[in-house]
Amino acid sequence: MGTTQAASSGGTAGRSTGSWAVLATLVGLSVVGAVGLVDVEWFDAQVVGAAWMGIAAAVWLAFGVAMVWALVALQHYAHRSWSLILLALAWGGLAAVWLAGRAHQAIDSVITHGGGDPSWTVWGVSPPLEESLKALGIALVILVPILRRSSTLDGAFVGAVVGAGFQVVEDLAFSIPAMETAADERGTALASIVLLRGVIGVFSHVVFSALVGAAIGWFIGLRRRRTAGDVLVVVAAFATAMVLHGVTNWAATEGQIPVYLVVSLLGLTVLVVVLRRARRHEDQRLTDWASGPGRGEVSSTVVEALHGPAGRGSRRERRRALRTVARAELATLAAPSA
Amino acid sequence: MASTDGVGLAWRPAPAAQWAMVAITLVCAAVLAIALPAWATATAPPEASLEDTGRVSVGNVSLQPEQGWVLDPAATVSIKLNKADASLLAFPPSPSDQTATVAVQVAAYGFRADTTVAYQIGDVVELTTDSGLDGAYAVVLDPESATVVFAVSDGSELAQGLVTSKAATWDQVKDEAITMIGTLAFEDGDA
Repeated sequence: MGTTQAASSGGTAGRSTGSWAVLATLVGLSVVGAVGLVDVEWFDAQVVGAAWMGIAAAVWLAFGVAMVWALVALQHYAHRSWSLILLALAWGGLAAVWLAGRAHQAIDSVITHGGGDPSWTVWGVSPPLEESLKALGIALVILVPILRRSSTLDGAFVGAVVGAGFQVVEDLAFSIPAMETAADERGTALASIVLLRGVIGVFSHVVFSALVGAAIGWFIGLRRRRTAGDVLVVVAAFATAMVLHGVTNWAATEGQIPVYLVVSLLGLTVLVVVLRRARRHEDQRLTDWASGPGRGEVSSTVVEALHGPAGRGSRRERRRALRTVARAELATLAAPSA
Repeated sequence: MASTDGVGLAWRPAPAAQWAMVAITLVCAAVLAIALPAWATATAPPEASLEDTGRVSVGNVSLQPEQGWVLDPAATVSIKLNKADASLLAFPPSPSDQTATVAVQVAAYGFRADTTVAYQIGDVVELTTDSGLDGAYAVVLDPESATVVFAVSDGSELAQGLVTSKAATWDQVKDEAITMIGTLAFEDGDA
């Protein structure tokens, strides 16, 4: 896919109609998803009651805020605009959850009507369905574009935030019927859901989407002609996320908590390995950029911290220097063309 | 920079790529949100549907759940509502000349025939549902549980069901169960 035009300094070209179309698609489907989710959950929410709905919403909102805060704090280059975060959260939590729910319900009804057991769809249909929807959102957010750049780390961040939005809203949606049928023990039911899907499952949707996002971000950001091998990398990341998702769903359904934990940690390990490698490439790229001609925004001390022999710049100084370079690079991108 | 393939450098996405993603996304959304559910409805009429008024229906029987009674999503051929340890089961009507009163008497007789449990079988109580159908129910108690067998008839079709509850919670469930029986209605045949 030819996703890029010639590299430019970003400049004041503003957004093309394509960018506005992407933004409208993201926002529009998120709004439709929000309305759809309220419609689906309204009756059950009334049964649960306003008080318990408020408690459940507050719990999952706090959970979501904590997740996003952690994701932002982990950023190596510390430049993620809030518009990017909100778009990713909106897609993951509203559009993707609603669309997945509609499709899943339709598929389950057909299977049930045919006399089959739809329980297998939890691990057989949900993973490809949900990961595909999240991947669409990841690509859309990157293509708006807000950062005007795309890298493995950018894609991983967008993916992680999309996954966080999906996880929080899906978990709230699961909490509602659990509290509904629990009648007098709604607190216990909510706590059980928080434990299983929140605490234990904290490395599920965020990790799956981050893996897919890393591949998408890398693929979109390629500056050379894309090959079949590049496409396979994206497919492999997608397949990995689907398999991890499917196994964890199966394990959760079957009560295989040790398997659930092991596979979740395996997915996290794969993601950490990918991100560490990507960060080394990004560090090198920024170092090369900082040492290039005309980098007036970057002070000599920063360049020294980056280029100094091992030991001159502490890890903390190096990280600070890289953040300064990253900001300077983005400032250059936003500046009018010379 | 060859090792990074230039990834992360400034770029502006090609409009063609943006429009392509928009088109793909909208097509996917249309398929998942509209086409797939429509196909499912045509292929597999919904077993249990929740109407805007809150009434639930399966096939051509419907009723209005009371507060706290939740539709069991696993119900495929009957209305099944749950509330804590109580449940209501209502089967769609089938052709029958039997009156609701006789149907309940027959059902209650089944309990009498079981002498291993000390059932207390109440009298058959007749009622008229909100939709004008003839209905009847009888309460059957044993030391641990309560069961209400009920039937509703329009003269040519008969729908039957039962409500079960733990004995300890029967007093709380009783009025709600009888109210819901009174809301039973026969619908026109679904598609």
